[in-house]
Amino acid sequence: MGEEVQLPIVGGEESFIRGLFCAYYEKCDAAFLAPPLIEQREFGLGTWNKKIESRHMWFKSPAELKSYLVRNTPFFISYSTAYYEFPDRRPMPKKNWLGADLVFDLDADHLRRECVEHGEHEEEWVCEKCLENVRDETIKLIEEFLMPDFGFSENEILINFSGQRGYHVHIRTSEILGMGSWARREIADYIAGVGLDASSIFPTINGRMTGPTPESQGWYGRIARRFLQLLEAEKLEVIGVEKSLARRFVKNKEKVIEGVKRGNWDTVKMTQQQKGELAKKVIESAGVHVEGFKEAGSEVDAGVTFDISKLIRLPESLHGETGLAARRISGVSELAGFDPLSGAVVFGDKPIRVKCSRVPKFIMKGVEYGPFNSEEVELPEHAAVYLICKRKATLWR
Amino acid sequence: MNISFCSRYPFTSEAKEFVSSRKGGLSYDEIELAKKRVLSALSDGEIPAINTQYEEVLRQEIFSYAGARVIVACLQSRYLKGRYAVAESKRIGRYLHKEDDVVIAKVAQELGLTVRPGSQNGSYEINFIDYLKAAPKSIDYKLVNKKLSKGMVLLNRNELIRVIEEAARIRIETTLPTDISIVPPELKKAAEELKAQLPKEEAFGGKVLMSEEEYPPCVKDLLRRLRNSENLPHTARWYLAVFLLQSGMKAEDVIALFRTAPDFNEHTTRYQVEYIARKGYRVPSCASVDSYGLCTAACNVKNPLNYGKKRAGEMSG
Repeated sequence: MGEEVQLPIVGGEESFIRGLFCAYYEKCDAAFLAPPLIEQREFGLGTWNKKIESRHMWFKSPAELKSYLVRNTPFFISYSTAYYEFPDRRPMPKKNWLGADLVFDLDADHLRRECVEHGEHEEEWVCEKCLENVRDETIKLIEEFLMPDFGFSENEILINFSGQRGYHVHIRTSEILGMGSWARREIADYIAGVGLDASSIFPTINGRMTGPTPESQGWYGRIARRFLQLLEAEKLEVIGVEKSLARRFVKNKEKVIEGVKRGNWDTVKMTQQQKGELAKKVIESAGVHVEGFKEAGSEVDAGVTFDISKLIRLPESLHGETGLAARRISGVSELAGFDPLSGAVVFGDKPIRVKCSRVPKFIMKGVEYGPFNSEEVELPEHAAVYLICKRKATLWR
Repeated sequence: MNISFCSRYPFTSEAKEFVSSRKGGLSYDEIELAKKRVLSALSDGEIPAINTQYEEVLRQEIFSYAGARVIVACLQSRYLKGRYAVAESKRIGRYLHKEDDVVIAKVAQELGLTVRPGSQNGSYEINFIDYLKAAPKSIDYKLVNKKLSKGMVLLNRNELIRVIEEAARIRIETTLPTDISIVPPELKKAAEELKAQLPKEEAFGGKVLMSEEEYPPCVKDLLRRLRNSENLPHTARWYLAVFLLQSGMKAEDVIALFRTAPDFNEHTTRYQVEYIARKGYRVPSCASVDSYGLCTAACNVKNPLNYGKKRAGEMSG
């Protein structure tokens, strides 16, 4: 009888979502949720309307954390990458900093998003392409920087989905814990290619252009390899090389490849300015875009320093803007096939009736939904939660 | 016990052992030598190296270092401590250039840096975490411009020595005695006598002729750090000099400002500031300033020189 009557439940979303989040935390093992050395971490919690509402929280044990989550069920939980003697004291200096994990924060938002540029969806929305790009960027960080250059082994590199549209990479080896902010900034600069001295990479850019070979170490070889990779794929214009010059490179491909392998970058005709531009573009495209850096070599976010008292999403906790879990990922091979809209889904399939505003097409657990435009639909619980958290839908009963 | 090694590298555990193995305090001669050592470090910015293997002289060298540390601590000035440490580290650097790889590795090890020979002749490898503890803060030594592979930074001999020098500077400066209440009276007296011989600290400070109000936050910060006698990295000094010259300050006044730098050397500073003035370097963009790690605020200008203009515009508009 009541089936036919559809009424909006005003303000019911917050308690509906909280109930589901609470049930999730209830089922989780306390040790599964707790970060190592929980007693030395500061926690921050967020509400339905604010990602970080309170900081300086302290949980002495995994069980204490879990009971808090079950009892109060915040919508966002983050913890300090730092270790403190007194995590709940304030202001910050009173906490007595003991060290910090090395953390990289990669977000689809930091990358160029062609889908947004082409008007495929608005900025707040995250599509498969956005998620794939940031996943590839994370793999690049690990496979091209953290392992070969910095020498971290795969089991020292801990990866988790951020819960929304990015990935976090944590390193907790004892040697890095005491590193100060300046040293961390140097690492971030290295990864983003910030401060690269182009004149030492291409020492004779003003004459016959000589440069690195693919076998050179560090950034030198990376630049040569990146260039050859783009040339082989005939994709030089993707990184902003002039079309006519890109064509010239492709036409003389064999000769150019042979040249670069010997460190000779001057096999096709280029003006002085084109040489400079080429060096800049290749350098830019070879870096990883980590939080705080928009573009290698320039346009660095002003005022962002490497924060050693940062709070970051607690792995396996739920994200209040998606209802997805900040899933731990076992390694690069799992990451390569990881799709957050399947792998980070925790809720079930029970049908829920919602009223959607404008929603682009999306795929969850392999099933395609939408696009919707101001309509009432019945969705499985996980998809309904996703849209409600994104404020794209409200409950209808 | 290698007395010669200890005299060259008196901060090492071996040298410390040697000092503590002797009973009784420093002799009159040793205290005089210690005073001389501090005085040359603070006034000339250099401590002369000795070229003898005569054991008695080597022994005196070690004790003069032990005394000098205490005397510098008694001066209770951050600026003088910094300047002293710079001079000691430069002395160490001069010796290192003449050493073989075994000694270099041993000195590095003492300073917590693990160094091993690289694959090429004359190349060395150092773990990046160790490297970042003591890398000089300049573009050439920025990690991104170094060859890094499997966690090891590749350095040539000169670069390695420069890094060890910097590590020694940090070690010497941060391990100066802090509790001067337990200092023997004869060393306290030496410090008092020395103070009288030093130029007044105020004399080191320059005078800013134009209003600092218009300087952007990054420049103000560098001036503040310079006045606190912080050992500013090369890029920071270069940027500061370029900015001040371009904003109309005279070279002479710029040189005067650098007097508070712990490693101030009038000749070098004059050469560099005048060179910058002659070259007419333009003030780098804010993006570049940030990439040097010197940006301190989001002021919404593209070039630091525009900061004053923007503010003036806001005030009148």
